[in-house]
Amino acid sequence: MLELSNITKSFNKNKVLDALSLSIGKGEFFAILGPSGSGKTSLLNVIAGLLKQDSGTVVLDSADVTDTPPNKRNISMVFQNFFVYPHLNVYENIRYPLRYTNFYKKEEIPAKIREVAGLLNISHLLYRKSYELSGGEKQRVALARAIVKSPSLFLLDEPLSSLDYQLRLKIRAELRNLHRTLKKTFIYVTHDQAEAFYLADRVAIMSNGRIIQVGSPREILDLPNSLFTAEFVHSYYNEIPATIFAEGDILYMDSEAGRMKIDNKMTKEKLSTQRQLKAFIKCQDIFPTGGKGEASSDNVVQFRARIMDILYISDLRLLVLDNGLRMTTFLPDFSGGDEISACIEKCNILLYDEHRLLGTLG
Amino acid sequence: MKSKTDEFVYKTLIAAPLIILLAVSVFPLLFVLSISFFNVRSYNLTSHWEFIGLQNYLAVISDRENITAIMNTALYILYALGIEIIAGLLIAILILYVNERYRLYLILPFMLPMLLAPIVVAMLWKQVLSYDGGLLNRGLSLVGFGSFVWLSPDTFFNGSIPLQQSLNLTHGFLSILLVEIWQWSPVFTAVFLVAFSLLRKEIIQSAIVDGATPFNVFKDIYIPMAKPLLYGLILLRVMDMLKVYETVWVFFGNSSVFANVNIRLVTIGIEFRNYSYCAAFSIIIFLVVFGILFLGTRVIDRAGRLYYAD
Repeated sequence: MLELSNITKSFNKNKVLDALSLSIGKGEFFAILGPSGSGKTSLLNVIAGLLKQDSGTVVLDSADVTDTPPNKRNISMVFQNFFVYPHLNVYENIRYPLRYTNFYKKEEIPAKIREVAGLLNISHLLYRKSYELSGGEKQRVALARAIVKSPSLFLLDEPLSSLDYQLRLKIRAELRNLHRTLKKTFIYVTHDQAEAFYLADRVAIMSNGRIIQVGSPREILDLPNSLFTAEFVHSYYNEIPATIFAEGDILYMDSEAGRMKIDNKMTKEKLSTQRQLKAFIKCQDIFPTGGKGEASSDNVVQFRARIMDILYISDLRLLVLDNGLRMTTFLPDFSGGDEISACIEKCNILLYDEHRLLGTLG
Repeated sequence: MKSKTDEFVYKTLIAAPLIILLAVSVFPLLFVLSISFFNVRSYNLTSHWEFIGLQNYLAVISDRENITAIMNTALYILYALGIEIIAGLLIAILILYVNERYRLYLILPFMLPMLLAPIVVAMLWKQVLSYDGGLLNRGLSLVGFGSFVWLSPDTFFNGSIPLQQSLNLTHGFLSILLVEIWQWSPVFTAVFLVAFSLLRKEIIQSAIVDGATPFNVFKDIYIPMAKPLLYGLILLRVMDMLKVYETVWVFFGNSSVFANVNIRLVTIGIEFRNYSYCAAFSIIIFLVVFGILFLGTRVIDRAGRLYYAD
């Protein structure tokens, strides 16, 4: 559906897009996730044609649109800080994309606008002035305007970031339903991890003008392929410097959390030459084991530690332990100073060198 | 806690400007209103005033010279506004094409005329427009157009077209207009530039993705979004143009052909010393101006709301 190959773009010797290639399938909800300044919006503008890339090609619906102006590409775009044309009312706002094109016959237009307004629950607002709308209503108008010309590709540039939290959750859910109803391709740019993973079928992680990783939310959350991705997509994690220690055939990882045996064969092969690395453990992967007599297994690392502090992240509790690790739990039965025993599955301990994922411990 | 001295200070501070305001604007207005119903002239100013009701008002609106003055003022405002808006817009577009770094140097010379006192501008242009050796005529003869008597009631087609005559486009009227346009078109340029720079780039990008060509964007986004600011400037300019006096006076003195309302009022009030008659004329003008202000501010207020839309 959309093929980007080798897209490069610089502003004054500052590379914002660096030989970027990407392929997006028909009907996919594709999220581009990255911190601010990573080039997400530039990428979206290149896809829209608003920004001319220095090199590389854009193929849309198996037609090369590299040199096609935005108004000739069959796309719609919703912007981060711009929702409605201020001088037009809701009806005229939704009609705006039909003004310069002949997608529909003149007599079909009012019915089409009403249909789209109905889809987004703004039928009752059609004759409101733009300045009489609330933030959420404006965003719905912007979505309606994007939908009305039924493009093959929707580009959404952080459309929810200027709404308040409650509204963001609500419209997020509506967006997901909208995608299912319309069965069109959506490209959604955001810096909000929760939004990207909630909405998208596939997510691309972007940094410094490059795509670092592409995959389903599950693939990315479970196995981030770089330390950058791991740190970016997870809010609560432990990152421990570790060294590799060999004893005959057996490899161990030494860290402040203790010595752990490395079982994973694939990992072992890559590790033999590696000395310094980092172990990455998500806080949610450390479980309290309750009693003392928990059956120990080779796949599990067990430890005992004292709780130094408890931080409340809404329902979630973040326990800070005296061995330097942090863990999260929903269980309410801990208090500061308690000694607890906890375990980590070895397959949840990820090993990284400076940038790349080397493998898991188990 | 508010002490008694504090309260005294507050009240005095508010009272002082109020008294000045009453003294310099409200009382004179009421005085003008009251004498407009009498027959006060220079000879009976200090003796008996005869009450004559609305006779002064009737006399004002039935005097051809007054009507000419009102028409001159109205046409002056209409023509000047129309031309200044278009000229200002064209200059603004021209400046938009210039690299941002050099824009300031281009805008500055356009703004200079505004800094000059109206009387200086009038004197200057009188020289430029003079028949013998005036810069304009010299330039025109140089390119083979010959000379025109600019400061005169001549018309280009000698009044053979009735419509043209009724529109009053004499050389003299054009000359007065020229000065106004030369001096004030750049303000419109400035306001258009400000309005355009207020537009966020997303609005334009959105319009482009929605299928608009650059001309569509200009017509359907730039211009409508500039309207509220433009309305504000139009109101200011109308108020200012209603006060124009120097140009006409320097060019034509008190000539009744070119007189605008101000020239006419000064002639009646100060030269003829026909106080009541002048007062009635003033009140009529005051009501018209008040009406324009009242409607104008409402229009601006409504239009300005679109700036709060996002």
